[in-house]
Amino acid sequence: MNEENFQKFLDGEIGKDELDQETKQDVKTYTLTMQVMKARYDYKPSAVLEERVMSKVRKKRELFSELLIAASVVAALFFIVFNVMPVKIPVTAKTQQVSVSEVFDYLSLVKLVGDGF
Amino acid sequence: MRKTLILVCIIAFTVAALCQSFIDLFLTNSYFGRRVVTERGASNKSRIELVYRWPEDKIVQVLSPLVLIWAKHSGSFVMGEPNNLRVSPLEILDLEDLFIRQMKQTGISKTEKVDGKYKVVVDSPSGLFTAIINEKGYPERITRVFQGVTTELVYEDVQPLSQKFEDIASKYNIRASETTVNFPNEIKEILQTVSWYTISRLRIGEEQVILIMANHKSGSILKIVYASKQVNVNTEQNEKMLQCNGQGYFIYIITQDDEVLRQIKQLLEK
Repeated sequence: MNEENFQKFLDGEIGKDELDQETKQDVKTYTLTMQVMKARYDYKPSAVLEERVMSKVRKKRELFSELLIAASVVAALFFIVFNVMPVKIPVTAKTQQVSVSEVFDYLSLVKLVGDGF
Repeated sequence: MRKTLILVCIIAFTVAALCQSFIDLFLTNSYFGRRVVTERGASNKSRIELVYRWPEDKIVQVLSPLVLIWAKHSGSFVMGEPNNLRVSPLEILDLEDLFIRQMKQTGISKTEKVDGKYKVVVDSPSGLFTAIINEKGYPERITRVFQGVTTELVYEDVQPLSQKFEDIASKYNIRASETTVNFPNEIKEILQTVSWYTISRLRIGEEQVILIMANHKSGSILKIVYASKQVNVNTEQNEKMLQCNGQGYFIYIITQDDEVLRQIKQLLEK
């Protein structure tokens, strides 16, 4: 192939008649390739195929969103239960009773092992 | 006459010097011993103990009525079961510690030598103490008589102690940083002004409370009620009451002595 003539032909500087046989064949091949590529790039899928493909993508996105929302709800519940809701256990009478017992037990032990102050 | 006076002075000086030396020995000795403590009076109690004593420190293993360890080290106290020792907010003082404290505060009332041993008497506001100390400076018996209660500490076997506090402390797993017993500071402050106390549980209404009957160092009787809720404490005629509230507890201090109540109020306001 005469590359220089090939480029000049594509640029419109010379006519097809001025090309040798081999270059003409290459130009033909090139033209065909361009037609195929154009057809490929101009391709628009059918509405059915597009819907089928896009629905798969949407399903994946929805699943990810649902998982994210569920995790957020669980985290929010944990936060509310352990930080916001009032904890009543430490102020029950039972806990205070232990405190009285602790004082009694300790003073009894000091009295048992000691002989006064 | 003059010679007799000089002789008496020399003898008195010699006796005083000898007494001083055995007291010094007693205060500075380190020893290990087994001892029995008995208390007779309104209530009777007894203990059997092993004691490791250094001039400033002490480790006591109570063998009976229950197994317990307490120790004094660098002015602080720990107490508990062998693997569960906690810092004691209150001082733990045995009869020997009380005797030494009163001897230093009040002074020796009488000293005499009986059968080669020294008998030291300390007549103090906290009781009449009598100690028998041998010529090596080791205690053999310490007795206190106070308000009809006789407490006696009898040493059965005393040996010199060459090991350091740390050596014995490691044997009993006594470490420097132990947790502290949860105890109201107000009661700690008040109990530092008493010479002894008794403790009992009682109910006021629906609430279970602690009643501490104590003998103030001035001689007055002091009642302390400790409750986890506000309770209606009845007082007798002439009794005055002081109430203080802590975090989750209420303390009522009752006495007939206005001066004692004023002192305690000042103490708690510090």
